[in-house]
Amino acid sequence: MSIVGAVLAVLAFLLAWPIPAALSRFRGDPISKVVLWQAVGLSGGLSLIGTALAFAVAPTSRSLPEGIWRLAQGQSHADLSILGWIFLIIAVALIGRLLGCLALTFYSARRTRLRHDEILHLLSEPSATYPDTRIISTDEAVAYCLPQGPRKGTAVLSTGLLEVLSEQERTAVIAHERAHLDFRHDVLVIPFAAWHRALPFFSATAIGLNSVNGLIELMADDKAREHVDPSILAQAVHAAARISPEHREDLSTQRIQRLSRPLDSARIPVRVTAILASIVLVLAPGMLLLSPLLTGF
Amino acid sequence: MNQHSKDKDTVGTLGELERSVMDAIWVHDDGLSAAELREVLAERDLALTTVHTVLTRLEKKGFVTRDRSIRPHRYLAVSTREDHVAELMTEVLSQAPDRQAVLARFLGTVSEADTKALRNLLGRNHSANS
Repeated sequence: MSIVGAVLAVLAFLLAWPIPAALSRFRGDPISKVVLWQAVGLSGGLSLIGTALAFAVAPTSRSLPEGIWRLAQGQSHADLSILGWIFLIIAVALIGRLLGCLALTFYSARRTRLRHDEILHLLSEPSATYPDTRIISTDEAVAYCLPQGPRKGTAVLSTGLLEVLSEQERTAVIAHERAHLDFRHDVLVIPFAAWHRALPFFSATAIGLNSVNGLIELMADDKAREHVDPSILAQAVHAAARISPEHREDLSTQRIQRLSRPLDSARIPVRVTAILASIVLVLAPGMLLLSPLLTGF
Repeated sequence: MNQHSKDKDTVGTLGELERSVMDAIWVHDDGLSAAELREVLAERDLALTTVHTVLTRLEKKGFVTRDRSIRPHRYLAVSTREDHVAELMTEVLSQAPDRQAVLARFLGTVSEADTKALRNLLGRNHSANS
């Protein structure tokens, strides 16, 4: 059992630092990367919890299911060493913290959005030209979207931004925001916001959150260019970037570069590979824990 | 209000009504009674009970307070319109990690901006396009 624990510990380490670092540097198909990130996040959490559980039951049981079963039956409490107890407490605390933060992030995002939606509807007017789009009068140049809520999602543009955009560029920006809403990109960010809240000192959670936040912008651009001219969308990114001093420079640059080139035709095989790799990644900690073959003493 | 907005009478939902009521209350600093509000919104031809319903909803949501010391009760705005706009914009522009799950902005936000790289790239792109 301690071998399983050691292997899981190595896996947890790899998923906590080298793999996220490599993944964030890799420039490729955004959907593949988002899928891999979700797998890294999930697998990393499972390996961490698995490591603690494996060490907790290591001295008394041949495999984790057996160990947990014996613990649940109250047979091995007496056998559990102090160290075993510590690992068990760590495992339970980790499970609680990760799931708790996930629920908390989900509900606090929801609450904030509902409140935002309430205020927004008092301050903004529906666009006459675009469906499910509202215009807010402010000099601030912003475009954003508000998923969920009682309505099916709202795109919001400020008059400050509209002033600097042509009619075509406005359509492009709205197509981008609609892609976020239609494909529920917010759901992809929630787990990473939660992992970051749960383990803020883990650099992997910050890298993951930052990456996924950028990737959903690339995904929305990719989707929007099915309906609008990519060069117009690039112009809109440029125009918005010019009047927003605090925007993500690296991301805007990356988006304009991506929009000025045709989409990579080899992205489908890349995507399939990424999905397969993700499945392996997510299953690995579980297989390790359940496998009695590896439970040598 | 501007060329992008729909005419007021095209949509008559409760939400639109709440917006008109707030617009009226925001410009009357010393507040309005329900009857006065009805006069201000005369073009909508509202029943007094409708005005009361809307005001009660807005009070529950925390947008207006009721001054009960005088009769009829007067309704006042809790915050100015500008404060509410600022509140929303702070949320939109916030960089806090747990805020990023709430809204997706067209341009992400960073604290450190290196404008040079983008300018170089945009200069190149621009000449290539035109």
